[in-house]
Amino acid sequence: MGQGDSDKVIFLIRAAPGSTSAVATQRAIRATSAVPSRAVTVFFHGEAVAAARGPAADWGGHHQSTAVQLLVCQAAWTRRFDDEPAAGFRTSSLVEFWTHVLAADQVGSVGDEALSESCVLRIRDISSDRDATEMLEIVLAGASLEIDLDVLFEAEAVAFLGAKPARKWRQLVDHGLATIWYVGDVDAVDGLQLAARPLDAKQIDDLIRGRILIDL
Amino acid sequence: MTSAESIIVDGRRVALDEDGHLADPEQWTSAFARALADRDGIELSADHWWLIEFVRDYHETYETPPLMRVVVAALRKARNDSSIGSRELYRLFSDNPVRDGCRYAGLKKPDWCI
Repeated sequence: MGQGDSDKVIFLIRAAPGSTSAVATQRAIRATSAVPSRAVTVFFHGEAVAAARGPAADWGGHHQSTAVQLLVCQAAWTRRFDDEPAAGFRTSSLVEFWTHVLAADQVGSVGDEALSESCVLRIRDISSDRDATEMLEIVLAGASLEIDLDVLFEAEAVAFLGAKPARKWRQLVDHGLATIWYVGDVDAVDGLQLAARPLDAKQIDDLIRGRILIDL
Repeated sequence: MTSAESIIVDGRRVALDEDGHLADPEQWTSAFARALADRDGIELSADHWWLIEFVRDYHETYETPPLMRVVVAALRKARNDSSIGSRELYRLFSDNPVRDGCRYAGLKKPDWCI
């Protein structure tokens, strides 16, 4: 992939194909990749890996094309499917995802300048235990590269902090791998399974300013 | 490894899965680790046992294997030696210390791509 001096843009997509979120991201990818000077990488994770059962052209990629690089998380794929991704998609690792993030000029569609090696991962919804585990794996992969990481739980996801599966996340705090924040009703996190810190909604801007923001 | 095998532990046949890990983690004993070491031609040192116990404790607490950087930090603390790095772990298991630590600890092969 000759990405040379092009602006490097990476998208992370975790929503199932056809969902509102996936369609919006798909649209953003098309718009971004239409600019000739941009080298676009799309990383499919979680339920989004199902996209690799369909044509790569749906995502701006083509068999033997260098236009858009379509990477599929190997672990997320093999948990769901026995066959290989369709032509035009390539299996990859979460470490490769983070390597792309650190090398990118832009992460996602919102124009974040990836000039930092410090990231905030924002979680607003967790659909299942597997979803939570796969999100944790993204965080751990970043932590394995010693990236400065904060994880921000908002909205519906805050309730997860009081649930039993959250104890897996406790390793982030116990071993200094990431700081965990939450914005929301304190009552919702009774029985907190991990040492998350409360954050006032007004402080979110301070947390994310100058850093890469990735919505999981 | 492409097909399931077994290993003799204290005179009993114990099944391995297709990845060469203990098929039933509940069957783990220190004798299993010693039998695996005999088969692999490894002499388990105190550091091997430290790693095996650390991986087991970590998995018991968090239900995941530890990251390499976590193991290195823990070993530094345990040995009170800040010069310790991943090199010391690769001297224990040259291929993949955390994965082999899981294998000897009787845990499943990590299925993540970290």
